[in-house]
Amino acid sequence: MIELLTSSLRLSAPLIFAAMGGLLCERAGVATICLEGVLLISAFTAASVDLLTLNPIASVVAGMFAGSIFMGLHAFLTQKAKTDHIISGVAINILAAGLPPLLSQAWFGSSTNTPSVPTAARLSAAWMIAISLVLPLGIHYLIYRTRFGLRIRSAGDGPEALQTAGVSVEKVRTLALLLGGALTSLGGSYLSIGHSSQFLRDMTAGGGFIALAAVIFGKWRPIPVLFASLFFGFTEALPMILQGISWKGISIPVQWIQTLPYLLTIGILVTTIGSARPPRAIGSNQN
Amino acid sequence: MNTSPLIEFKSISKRFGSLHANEQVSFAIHQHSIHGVIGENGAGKSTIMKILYGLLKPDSGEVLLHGHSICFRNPHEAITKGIGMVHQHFMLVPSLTVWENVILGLEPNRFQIDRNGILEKLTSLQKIYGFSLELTARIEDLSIGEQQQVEILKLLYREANILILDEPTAVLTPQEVTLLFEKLKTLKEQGKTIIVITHKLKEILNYTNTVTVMRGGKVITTQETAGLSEGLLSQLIMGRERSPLPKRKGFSEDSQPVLQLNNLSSSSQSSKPLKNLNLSLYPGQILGIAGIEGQGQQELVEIICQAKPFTGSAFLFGIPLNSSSAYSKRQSGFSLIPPDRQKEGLVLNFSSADNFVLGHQREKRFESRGFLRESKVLSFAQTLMNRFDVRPAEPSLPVKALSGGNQQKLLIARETSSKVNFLLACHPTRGVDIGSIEFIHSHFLKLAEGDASILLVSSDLDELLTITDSIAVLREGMIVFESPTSQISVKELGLWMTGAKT
Amino acid sequence: MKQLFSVSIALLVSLTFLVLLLFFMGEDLNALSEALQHTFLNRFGLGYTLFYTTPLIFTGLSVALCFHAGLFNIGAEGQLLWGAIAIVAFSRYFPNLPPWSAIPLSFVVAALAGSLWGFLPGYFKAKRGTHEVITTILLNFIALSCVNYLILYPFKNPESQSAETSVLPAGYQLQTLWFPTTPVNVSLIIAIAVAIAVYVLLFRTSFGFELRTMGQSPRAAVFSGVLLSQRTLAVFMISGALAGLVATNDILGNEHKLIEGFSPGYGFTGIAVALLARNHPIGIIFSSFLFGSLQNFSRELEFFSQNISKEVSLILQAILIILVSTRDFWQRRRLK
Repeated sequence: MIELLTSSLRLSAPLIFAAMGGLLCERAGVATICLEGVLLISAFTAASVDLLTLNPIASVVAGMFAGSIFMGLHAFLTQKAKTDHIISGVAINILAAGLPPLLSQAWFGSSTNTPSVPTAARLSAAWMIAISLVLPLGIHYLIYRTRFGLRIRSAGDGPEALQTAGVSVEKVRTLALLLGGALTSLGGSYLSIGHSSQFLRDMTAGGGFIALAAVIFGKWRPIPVLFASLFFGFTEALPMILQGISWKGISIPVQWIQTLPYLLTIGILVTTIGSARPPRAIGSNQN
Repeated sequence: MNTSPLIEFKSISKRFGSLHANEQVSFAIHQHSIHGVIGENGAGKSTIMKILYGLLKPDSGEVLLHGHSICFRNPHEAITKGIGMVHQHFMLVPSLTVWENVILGLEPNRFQIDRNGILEKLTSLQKIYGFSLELTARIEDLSIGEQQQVEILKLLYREANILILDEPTAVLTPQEVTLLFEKLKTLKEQGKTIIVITHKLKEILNYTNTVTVMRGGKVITTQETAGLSEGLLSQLIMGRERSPLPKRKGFSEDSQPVLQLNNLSSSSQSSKPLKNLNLSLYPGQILGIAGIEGQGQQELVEIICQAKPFTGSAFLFGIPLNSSSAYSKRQSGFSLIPPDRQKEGLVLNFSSADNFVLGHQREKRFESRGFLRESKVLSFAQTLMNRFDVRPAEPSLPVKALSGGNQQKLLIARETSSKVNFLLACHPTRGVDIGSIEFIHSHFLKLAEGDASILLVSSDLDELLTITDSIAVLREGMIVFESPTSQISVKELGLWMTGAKT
Repeated sequence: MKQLFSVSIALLVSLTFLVLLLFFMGEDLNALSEALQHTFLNRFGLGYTLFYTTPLIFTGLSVALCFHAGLFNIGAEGQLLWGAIAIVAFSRYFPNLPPWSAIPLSFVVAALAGSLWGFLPGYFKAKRGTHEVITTILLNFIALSCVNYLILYPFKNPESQSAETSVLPAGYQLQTLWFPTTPVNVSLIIAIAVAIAVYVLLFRTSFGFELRTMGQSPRAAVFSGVLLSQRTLAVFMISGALAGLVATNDILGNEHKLIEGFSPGYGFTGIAVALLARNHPIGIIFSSFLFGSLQNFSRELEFFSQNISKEVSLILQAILIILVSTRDFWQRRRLK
């Protein structure tokens, strides 16, 4: 039981970081299916820098920087070049899927994974989990109590009003994306050098998309999104427990168990979406 | 009156392509007055105000403020010089509260917002100007009239001295109109200057001090309102007499109703569900649905079009509404002019010809074995465009290249070209120039003459009073009042609409 | 013409990027020319390029059809996996069918399986309003797990060490066309025919007219009497079927068995293919050739270079998507 709880928390942490990053972007009116790519690229960057510097803090910062650059690209594509948000997101995901194997092959001689970082250079998972649990409070404060938060909410719900009030919607959205990218990257860095000790090509396994589902499930509000992420973390932890169990000598194939988080995510989306209302101007481009 | 004007326009000209939106426009506005700018759609009144507000740049001429030449690059600069504008479509964030909307863009704090300090400041601001809005309410929960007050409060918070209101009464009930102008009068007495853009004669005559009449991009006259009569003003605006509408022959309630709704209620989630609606529409009858926006009109239209589920019974042409397909309904003479022509009635990126097929794509005249018959479509479009004078009459041009009036004419041509037995028309003249309005109204009357029934959903009371036989008022998803048009006054309608009378 | 011009520029930029990449990675530029030769200039290379073109035509069409109806199908990857496993299953139940019935039936079965998997996001969207982007992505993961299970257990080739199914019966094996020793097969011709059919469907029929109306303006479609939920389902099922057909190329024409991870992301590349062709079904044939070349080229480059992995194709793909989708932006900039 305790095991289930702790592994839920471990698996929730990257989801919470990504969901909080995604929440900021989506509240500002930008659809972010590129969370997955940002997770991936930050995981790789953090692992590579950690191998080089053996300094986990510097590596996290580097990961955040890389993630922000990718979100910055999303900002440029959607806000400046007025590209469709989904198309831009897909392009970024593809880029983030291609870059790590290429660089990993060139730097470390293997396109599927990086070498392991020494234990001493790993990020404290406990600390990261603690941060992930407190972060939503900070996001709540940012969104509902600050000027920037007010502008983010306006950019997502009434961009015309914000623009006529003399504030650049593009700027607000870009800032939200950069910040969101940095937060999401905390999750990516945690995956590679906190939760694990190396970067693996498939290590995010759709976590970015599940985080996005958590944002929807939590109705774009920080605290409910936290609980949604915890729930999805729990569904990811379940397979590990179920794997050992067999019934009358028949054990459930691991492949079936692996589908569980995705099945539950879809199930929840399908049953709850009717009551969820996204930010009004999400995915729309200001002209 | 003051000798030196506050604002002076000097020979302003502005062209859009070949269209002269403003031609040598010159007039002056004096301090502490309510100044009306009146004219038909396309007369150039919005253009001149946009130039003042920094939304447009004039091709030639200049604007003087306090005798100094000004040229704003954007509305933000206009605001800093004390000029504010309330747009026809409100610029508010629906999910935010009143106070958040008011301070947006000019927040007193750089990081953390001092909510209590702001509330205090806004409360005293409200006191000064006689506003009584609930500052912590969400915009989406306010009435249109209240939302408009928020817009004005926004300008007052920004210390605007000159307030421009673009068609402020288009969506208000008669009572709200009175209230608005009382507010504006108070503001004037507090030292503000107010410019009202409108096309309604009564508002000019009743509430303004001076008026500028525009027509075809030019100023016809600027004078004091006192001494003008409705007839004279109307002549100045139109440049001719209004052409009379054809006479109505009336209808009979003896025959079977074309549309009959009994105890109709919404059965899906909706912000404004219908509740036990009863309505009958007879052949040859034009029935108007009046009401403030968002009282269930959309819901009613969608239910009749079968886009939403309902409970209760509904009969169209004597058949239960949901027992026949959209296609067979169209076959038996059901036509529709949806509320938003650009999003619901037409596909802007499609050619005019394709738009003529929309809704008829499964009919034999356009389709054979699943394939569209393109030559038929083209020739049909060409014929109708000529008949209804849609310009340019070029079927392969995308519809987005047409003006609003021509788009509406295309829509009406499509919907009324084959035999019409029941026409559901929503805001058919919204944003359309006066020539097209006359055309549309007389066309509707002709249809009714041929025994077609028309359900006219409109927020334009003048329109309803001009062409309907009876009017029903929709409020909170219910029909609260129904009466023959000849027995209703504007005032009474307004009372029913706002719920002052129940 | 304008489209051709912008695509050429995008290609030029990608190629420049590639040369720079090779330079900074200390690669021999000969690798580039060798790879290019083995993509276009010899029969063997061209054969493989065409082989990689076929699946992209199918997935490109699958994505484009949804696009026209205003829907995103990011689930082609999952749909094509079901198409593949369906062929394997069908051949196990009917191992003795002669080629003249086995081959056409395999196409039908693959399309049906893809179509069923496409039904799900369509149903969720139509009935529950769940956004198809997330559901299709999640369904990809589910499809991958399920198909991997089927490959590893029920359909596993007992004689093989790797994760793959048994070899298909002889009647299910397509012969190579035109380019001996390469796997180009009749699927390519079918793919081109399907592209033409999709063109006719979209631009010549009333059904296609309704789909395009839906994509341009869903409200206008509703008010013109189109039942959005019905059409959404139909579109997703057709799109799924198109994606399902991908499997025919590789399973019937090349490997004659299903190997775990056989698709290098055809479903995702389909998005790029559709985008580059501006969703025009005929254009998709050509943009598929382009991305098929890219696919083959990056494989060859991996082979000829020291340290470049074949994922370089993903990066070039992303660059192409970005450049093409921002075309209007660069044009605006130039006008200023």
